[in-house]
Amino acid sequence: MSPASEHLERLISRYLDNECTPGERRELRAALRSDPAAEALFDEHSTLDREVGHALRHAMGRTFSMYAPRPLWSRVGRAFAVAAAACLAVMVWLAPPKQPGQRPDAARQARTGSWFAPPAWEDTFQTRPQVYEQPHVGLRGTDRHWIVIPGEGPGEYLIVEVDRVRVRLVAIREDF
Amino acid sequence: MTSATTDAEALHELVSQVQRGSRPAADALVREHDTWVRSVIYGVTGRIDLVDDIAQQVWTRAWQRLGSLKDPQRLRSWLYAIARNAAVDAGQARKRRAALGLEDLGGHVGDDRARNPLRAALGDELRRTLLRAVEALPAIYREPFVLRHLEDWSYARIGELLSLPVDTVETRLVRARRLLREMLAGKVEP
Repeated sequence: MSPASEHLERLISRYLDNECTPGERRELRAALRSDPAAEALFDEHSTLDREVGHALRHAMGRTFSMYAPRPLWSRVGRAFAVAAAACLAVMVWLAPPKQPGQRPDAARQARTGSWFAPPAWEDTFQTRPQVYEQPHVGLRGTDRHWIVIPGEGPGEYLIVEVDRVRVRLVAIREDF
Repeated sequence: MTSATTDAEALHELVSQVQRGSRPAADALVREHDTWVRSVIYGVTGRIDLVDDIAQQVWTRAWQRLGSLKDPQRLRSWLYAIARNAAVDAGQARKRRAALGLEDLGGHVGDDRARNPLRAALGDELRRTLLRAVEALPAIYREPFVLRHLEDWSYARIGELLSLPVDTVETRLVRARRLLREMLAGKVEP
């Protein structure tokens, strides 16, 4: 191998390893422009490097990084999902049980004696009882968590407060 | 305070915690160093199928001997010595078994076919050919080549670990590429 081609090989190797100085980079670029054989050698080496690197990473199980940090949107999305699930759980827990009610049509029929009679004034504008008024029930048995998510810039954080309802296991001693 | 000083202090603290028996610190230590330790093992043996077993031996030996590590700043070279010795020992043991006819020394690059059918489906002939070529490289060229490609380390960092001058690392990488090019001539299309 001639000293010139050995030098070219070294330049290509340094370039592929990100070790080239700006001067060496210029020198390599000029060589590739002026010499098709140099360009072919560069293509061959860079393809080999890429393919061998890929094969090595694949063989060592490094195709996917196990410890790669999740993107911010993914972490924020997960935090919101946890918060939403916790809120839903709390709402379901606090919702009063449904009272068995009378159908309004049946009540009207009972008063007028006909299914086709127009609704009475008080039926249209009747004041409905506030069945959904929030009862004064304290939320006990919860764990309060704060999820702190660092933002893009320094000092930026998204803080999500989550009240998790603790689940308690109760042994059933009597079969109802 | 420079970042190098901070890193050195953090490493010192981490190693001290591991020596005191802290499990989370041990986990952190393995997470930080396991990947390059595996690259070293592969670089020395050239055998993917041996990496898991030897890595396990390396960490077992490391825990057994961690008390003897006086200077935590030398952790990397200390681990490298353990990994290299374990890999060389495993290679020699394999050769002894092969001499007795107990082990096949042939290419084991495609051995993951039985373990993982999905990987086998993805692993084409080209990949196996490339890995066979890397396996066929002399270890002195394969080691820096693997560290460069798997760890993306600079020449200086590779030289520091292998106790080699930067120029030697560079020369070995050039020769590794030249040998691969010769072995794989006509098999990889640009």
